[in-house]
Amino acid sequence: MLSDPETWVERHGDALLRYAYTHLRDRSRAADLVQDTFVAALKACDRFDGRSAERTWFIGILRHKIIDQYRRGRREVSVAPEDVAEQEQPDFDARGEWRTPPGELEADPENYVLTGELARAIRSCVDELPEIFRQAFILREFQQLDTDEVCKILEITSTNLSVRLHRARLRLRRCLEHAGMQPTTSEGM
Amino acid sequence: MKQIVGTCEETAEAISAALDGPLPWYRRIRMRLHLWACRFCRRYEVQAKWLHAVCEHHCDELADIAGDTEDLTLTAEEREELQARLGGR
Repeated sequence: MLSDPETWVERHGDALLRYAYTHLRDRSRAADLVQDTFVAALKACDRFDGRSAERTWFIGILRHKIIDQYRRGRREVSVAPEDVAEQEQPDFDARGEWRTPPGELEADPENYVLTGELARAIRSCVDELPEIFRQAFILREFQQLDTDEVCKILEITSTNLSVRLHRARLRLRRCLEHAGMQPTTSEGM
Repeated sequence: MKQIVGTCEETAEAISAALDGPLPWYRRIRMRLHLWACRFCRRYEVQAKWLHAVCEHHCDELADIAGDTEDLTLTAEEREELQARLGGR
């Protein structure tokens, strides 16, 4: 059963605001969506079945609102991936080989611990992505939408999405390596 | 040889695409052949798969991460307005 709606703002307001802001990067819109989320939750409170935590349920509602925002806002971001300025040094040379080869991961990528420092580094690197790459990456990797859904939301082709995700991942790899971030296994802690 | 196994750039694209859905067989084989021969691309595959797994298993945490939102809170006016809407149901 949900808690008293009069307690929702104190209990969940700031967390929802931060969640919305990290996706939208617009405080005003984020605050609007938090309000919309609470109003929607109030109307749908009898549909909360208690199988998830209360906040998880709110975030689920907020997530749909954020996706609607992406649908409405997609025309505001009309830059094509090829127009995004390439970094000073592209990842590959003229022969298609790595300019700066990836370093070796010192841990098993299937047996790691997500430390707070590492998580913040990932978020920071994601936030530094050019907007069209960031939107695609967040919808695909943070929202866990499949590629068809992302294409519909952003109104781009699957090829275009593939390019955006590819370039986002290359930039993230370099950003994390530059930050000296390596995953840690539970044995190493 | 590069026509058969492709370049590192092409392989990196294939590695990324493989995270989002199955590759056509010819592209998958080409990628595997290149990975067999290229330790740098094998490293990139490990890194890309790791990042993908982290996002998959920790998507809510990552979306809620403090970072520059650590001090982000609702203003007093926003709280009042929200309370009014929720309390006046």
